[in-house]
Parts: sequence; structure tokens; C-alpha cells
Amino acid sequence: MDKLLTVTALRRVVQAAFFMFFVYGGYVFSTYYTTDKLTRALPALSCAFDEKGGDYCALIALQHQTHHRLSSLVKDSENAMVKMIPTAVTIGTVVVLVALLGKAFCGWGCPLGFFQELTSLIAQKLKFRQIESLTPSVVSKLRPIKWVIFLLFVLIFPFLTGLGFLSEELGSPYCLICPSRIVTTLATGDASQAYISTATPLYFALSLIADLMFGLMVAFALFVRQPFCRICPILALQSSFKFLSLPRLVKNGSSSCDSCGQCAKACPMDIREISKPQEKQTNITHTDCTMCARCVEFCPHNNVLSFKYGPFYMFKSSKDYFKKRVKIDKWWKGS
Amino acid sequence: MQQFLLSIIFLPLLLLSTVFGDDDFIRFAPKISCHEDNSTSATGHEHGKKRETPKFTILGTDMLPQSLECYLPTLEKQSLPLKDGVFSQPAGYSGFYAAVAMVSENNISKSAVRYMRGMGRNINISTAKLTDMQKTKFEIVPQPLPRYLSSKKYTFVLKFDSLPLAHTDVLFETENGSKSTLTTNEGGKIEITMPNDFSNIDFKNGKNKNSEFWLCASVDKGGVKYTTTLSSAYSPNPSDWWQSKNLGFAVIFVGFLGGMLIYRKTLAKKADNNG
Repeated sequence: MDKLLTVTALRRVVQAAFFMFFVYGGYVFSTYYTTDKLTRALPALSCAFDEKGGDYCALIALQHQTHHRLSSLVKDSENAMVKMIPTAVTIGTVVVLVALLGKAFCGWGCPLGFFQELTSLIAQKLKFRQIESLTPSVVSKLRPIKWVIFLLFVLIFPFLTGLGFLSEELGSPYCLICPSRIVTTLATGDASQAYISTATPLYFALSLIADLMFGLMVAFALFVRQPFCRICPILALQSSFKFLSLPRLVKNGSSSCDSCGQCAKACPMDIREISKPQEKQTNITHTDCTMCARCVEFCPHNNVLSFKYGPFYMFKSSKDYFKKRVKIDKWWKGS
Repeated sequence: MQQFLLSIIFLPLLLLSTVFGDDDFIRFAPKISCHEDNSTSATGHEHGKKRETPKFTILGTDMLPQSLECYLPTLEKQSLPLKDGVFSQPAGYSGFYAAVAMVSENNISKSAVRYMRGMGRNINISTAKLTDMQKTKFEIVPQPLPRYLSSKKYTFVLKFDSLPLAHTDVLFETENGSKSTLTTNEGGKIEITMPNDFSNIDFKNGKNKNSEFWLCASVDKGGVKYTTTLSSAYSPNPSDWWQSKNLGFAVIFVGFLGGMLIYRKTLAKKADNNG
């Protein structure tokens, strides 16, 4: 029983609950209709193509608004305020949600993140040899991709499409390549999103990218931790407002930290920066951090790493917890 | 013998046409033929262009309806002005509007309902409230109210005085010529798979021609015959025409294999480095 009392175990329960709500919540908490979805601006990849879902991602709303509303401001500035209200509401909702839960939406709430972690857990049980961490050069090459996807696929392409410079296929291009669209719809028994479109060459290309990326993501999740999260544009969106976030990862200025690197090794996103000692208490919430808390769990020193919510400490690293956590990890991996 | 066979074939059709005689029903239809006006595109809807206000007419009666009203997405009710037998879809809010027409003649109370999607100010009132509220005494209620696509199954509930009406025949008909009769179950429900009865799809040029379907039902209560129709547009399902799921799953599998190849290569490289 004691084995279950860890932050990771709690996180799995929360992830499962969020998965049920985001993917099937329309059955119980809301309805089929858009107006009944909870926020319609989640900073997590819960897909609007899943009609049974309880809520959906802010990226679809942002693409849609950039495509239809913001681009129309350039052509016709009449009723500018009215045209900007939906975007302001979406961004305002994202800001509030990021302020309240921050990057925990990724590590504790995102259905696609949970799917990848589940795949990884199954692979561990099937004795797939895990690649514990990616090399620093691979990590540094991967990091800018999320910004490129966010800027091009969520903002620039939809905006230029709205202005008429690009064809309509690029009105909501991120949704057309997002693996969460395929995962969440398949989870409800709807296979219609796993398609190849022959409507136009561009649709063909986008559907090809989506399906290839989904297949790659499933394969990678068997041996690399959180493969898609590393390039997810939601991280970029959240990072834009992370300075407002109440939950944060904090490193205390302490001589106890000997840069042992246990925290960086535990991090599924390979954020090696967290292992650097700090002179004073510092917010070390990195752009790529998903707030999974593994770094705090695997820190072998008392009070070096901690999770804070506003001024309150939620969880601090400790020697005793570290020992327990390592023991559980060994038990799970069967080593 | 031939005559006998013909009578076997045509008698039920004759009975059906009597039961669902056109005279007993009124229904809404788009003013301009949906083959010309009501199209969707495989490359998305064209934005930036100002959409013309959709116009509708009422078929099945020469009389002016005793009542022609529209329920707004806010659930408020307003009367619809009819000009030369045509009315325009109201605007102002994003969401669904419900047009309701009623005609009473010769002890028959006819009603027609049509849900119309509008663009405008967002309001936070559930469409479920609009579909669930009683708009006429006898009504076919969509559950839920989606964008109808061919080859997909949809549920409707037949209600009389807001209560489900069981074991009642409902005629389903489309502009493209599909026709069938369904009977409501204990809960007043029927399930219909929209037929893929489109032809000459020209999706590459952005002109997928929508079609119209309508559901008709009638019931006798207290010496009065009540009839109702629900009409709507439905579109070709991309999966029927330009999207292939088989190809999609094949590509996913190729991606998966590619990932596994990278996995094997990475392990081999690691082993080389260690060895």
C-alpha cells in the first residue's frame, strides 16, 4: 500500500481522471454542443474533433480566430472590438488557467501526455529497453521545433490564409497534423480521423504528416519518454504566460546540491538545466517543464527542490522520499 | 399474373403515399435550390466573403401559415415576416435558430420545424435547451443537432406534448430520392443512417453539393390529425469520397515501423559505443 503513496501515483490518478473528463466528459458533464464545453480554451491537447469530450484545446480556437477574425481586421477594421472579443476571451481564459495550474496541464492533465506515459509504462512491462535520456545535442535541436510549430501552424499560416495569401487548407493547419486528434477520437471508437485525404495535394501532405507523426509517436513512446511533448506547441503557448503561473518548480539556494544530476536524469523532458546549483531560491520552471514532479521525487537531498503554489510549499525533496522512490522504481522495472 | 405481381409491388407504395400524402404535410426548404446555393467544400468554407442571408420557403400549403416564428439561440421567440412566400434567416447570434410554421386546415394541424445555423455574437446557452423546448404540439426532435453527413447514424425523438411517442411511423425522404419508413421505439426514438446518395461530387473545385432530407410523421389525437416535419441539409461524408481510413491506418503503420527502425538503430549505435 505504501508503494502507492507517491506523487507519481497521485499524478496517474489525476491524469486518468482528466483523461476521462477531456475525452468522454461530454457524456456526463457537458453535452455534444460547443456551448456546453467547459472552457473551450484549454492549454492542453484535448481535441475538439472528439465530440464526446468535456472540453477542448485553445489551439483550435486560436487558429480559427486568427484565420477568420484577426485577419479580417487588416482588410476591414470596422467593428474591430467585436472581431477581437473571441480572441481576447480565448487568451484571457488561457491566462487564467495557466495562472491557476500552469504547466501542470501538461504533466497532470493532457490526454496525449497520459497516452504517451501509458504506452511507455506498457513498454517497460514488456521489457522494451528504454533510452533513458536524449543527448544534449538532440535535445537542443528539438527545443525550437515547438516554437516553429506554434508560430507557423497556429498563428502565421491561419493569418495569411485569412488574408487570402494561402489556400484554405492552411486555415487550421495544426489540427490537421495533431496526433491528439487521432488519439482522442480513436479512444471514443471513432476512426474517421485516421485518414489520408486526396482532396488536394496540400490536404494529402498534411494528412500524410499527421498519420506518419502519429505512428512515429506511438513507436517512440515505447522507448523514449514523452516524445511528442518535446515539440508540442502547447508548451510554447503556456510559456508565453508562465511568469503568471502560481505553481512553480523552485530550487533553494543551498550547499546541499552537489549537482549529482539525479533530477535531470529523472526528468522525462531531459531538462538538464535543473541540476545546476543556485545561490538563492530560484524559480527554475523551464519552458519544457511539464510539472510532473519527478525531479523533486528523485532529488536525494532535503529541501533542495520543491514545488510551490504561490507562497505555499506543496512538495519538497527529501532523502527518505528519494530512497522510497528509487525502491519503487526498481520494483516497477523489475530490477 | 403480371398484374398481380405489379399490384403486390405498387399497393404498399400506394398505401404509403396515402398515409404520407403530400397534402398533409408542410415543410421548410431553402429558397434557392440547394444544388446551386447550399454547397460545402473539401477545402473548407470560403471565408472573408460575405455570406448571403439564407432564405427559406414553406412547401405543402397554398395558405399563409397561421403562425411562423423563430426561436433564437437565446431561446427568445420572434415572428418571421414572410415576403412573397419567402423568409430570411434571422441573424445576430452564433448558434442555432429554430423556425417553426403552423397551418391548421380541415381538422388537420400541420407543423414544420427547421434548425438553422447562424453566425454572430457568442452566447452561452446550450443548443440542447433549444431542441428540448416544446415548439409545437407534435414535433421531431434531433438528438443531438449536428452537421448531418452521409453514412453517419443520427437519432431523433418523436414527441407529442413534449412526451415521446412510441410505435409511430416516420417517413424519411431525401432530395436525392432516398426514401424509407421507420417506426419509433418505446422511447419515441428512431435512428437513421443518412444515405450516401450523392452523385457527381466535384470536391476538388470546392463544390460539394449538399442535399435536403425531411422526416414526416402524423398522429390522430382527439379527432384532430397532427402532422409534423423536420427538414435539414446534409452533406457528403468525406470518408465516403476523398478520405481513406485504410490508407490512413497503413501510413500510421509505416510511421510506427519507421519509429521501430530508429529504435533498433539507436540501440545498435549504443551497443557499438559501449563495446
